[in-house]
Amino acid sequence: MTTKNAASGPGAANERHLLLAVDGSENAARALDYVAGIVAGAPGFSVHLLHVRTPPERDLFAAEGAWRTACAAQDERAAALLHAARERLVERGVEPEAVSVCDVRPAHPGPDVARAILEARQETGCGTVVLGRRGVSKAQEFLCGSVSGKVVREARDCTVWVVE
Amino acid sequence: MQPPSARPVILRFRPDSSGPFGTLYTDTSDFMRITSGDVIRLGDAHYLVARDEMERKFGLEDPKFWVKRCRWLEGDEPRILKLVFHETFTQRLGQVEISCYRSGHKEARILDLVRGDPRFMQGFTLPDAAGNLVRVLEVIRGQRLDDVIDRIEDDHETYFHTRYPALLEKYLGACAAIGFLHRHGEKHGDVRNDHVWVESDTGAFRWIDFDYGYDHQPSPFGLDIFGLGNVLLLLTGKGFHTVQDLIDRFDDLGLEPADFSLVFRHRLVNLQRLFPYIPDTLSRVLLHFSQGAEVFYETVDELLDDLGPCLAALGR
Repeated sequence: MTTKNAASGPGAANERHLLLAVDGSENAARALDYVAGIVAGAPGFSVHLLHVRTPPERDLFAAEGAWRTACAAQDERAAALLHAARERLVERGVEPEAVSVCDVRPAHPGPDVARAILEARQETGCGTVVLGRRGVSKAQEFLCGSVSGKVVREARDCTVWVVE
Repeated sequence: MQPPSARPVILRFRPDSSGPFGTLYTDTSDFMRITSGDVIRLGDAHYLVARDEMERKFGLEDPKFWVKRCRWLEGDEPRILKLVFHETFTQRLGQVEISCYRSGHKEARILDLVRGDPRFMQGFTLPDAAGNLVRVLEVIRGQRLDDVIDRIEDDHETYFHTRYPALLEKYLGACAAIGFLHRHGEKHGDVRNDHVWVESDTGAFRWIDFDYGYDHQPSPFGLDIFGLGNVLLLLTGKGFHTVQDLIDRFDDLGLEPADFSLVFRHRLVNLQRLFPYIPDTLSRVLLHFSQGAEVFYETVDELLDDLGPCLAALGR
């Protein structure tokens, strides 16, 4: 895990320390705006922005070089979207020093994004997890799964906000 | 430069051969050109091509130009050679679109992983002169599972009480095999009724074709588990039962949308409506794949945990 301007660390979970998972989607943007609306001007809050990088499947590419290029492009996108998310919070009145960012690569097969979010939550000591919801159909949830659904189901010792 | 003739190689192993004598290939990139009578050389091994393999869908045979039925000349045994055909495509399952791909690397990796495991097809990978990973597969003597079920002439009740328990037991073994792949971070990628072969002499279920994959999903193994549900449905129903088949009995059977598949919405999942002797334990497992389901299986172990008591309910 790489962490910048860490405002929170391992220790007891504090519900005012928010772990906000972002992926550049519209759902994540809604979650960002929701968090900004609560945190801006409110004392004692911190926001830990998390992006879970899921490298493209190696098997998707015929050649190693093409895969590495795609991975590098994704790394650049990850850095850019975390930067943009931080800017968005600050523009909406959240104190810059209250925002930290990190991106992780999930360690589990799949890769399991929900598990990576919950592990990051534990590591940062955040007491609240915030994420947007795609609003997938039942069939899609069955076939492909749902990160927010799994986070809600498997979260322990913390609060989860799912922003529609 | 024109590739050399395969004639000297074929006559070395089969002096009485009258042909056809095609071309000797060491580079299989242009697999469409490779045909009956050609020889593919991989390292020191020579494979005489007999024909392209066919895939049967909806009663039609579709040639798979990148899969060659061959004779391994040194060993005088049949082999299937899968040549590299990398493609990406979108697969539609009901209303859901999934990004899929075909990858020789993936299949090569899984062949290494399952070497010696009789629950899977066996083979190894050899690079050709251009570096293409050619998979050299042993031929399974047997039939596709759906063909086996289709040829059983018993009525459903007789089938269910006599043959089904043993088939279900084998199905559980096949599920455990897929669970083994998942534990090693691999997906089968194309779990279908015709990708389980039933070996003639042992009756064992064996998985084939590991080259399909799909892009990352929040539930990484969801598609494999969906496929396992379809296999269970075929086995339990002795074939599939659709809205079209049941249209005249809809009201009598008390059927409603929740009884049908979540993905293939015309396919009956609540088979207990049709066959009331199906035990509740088994019916509950099937209903996890229905439109009425609220909770889905995420791992093979969850499915196996629920199926274990079904075997007991069937006297196994």
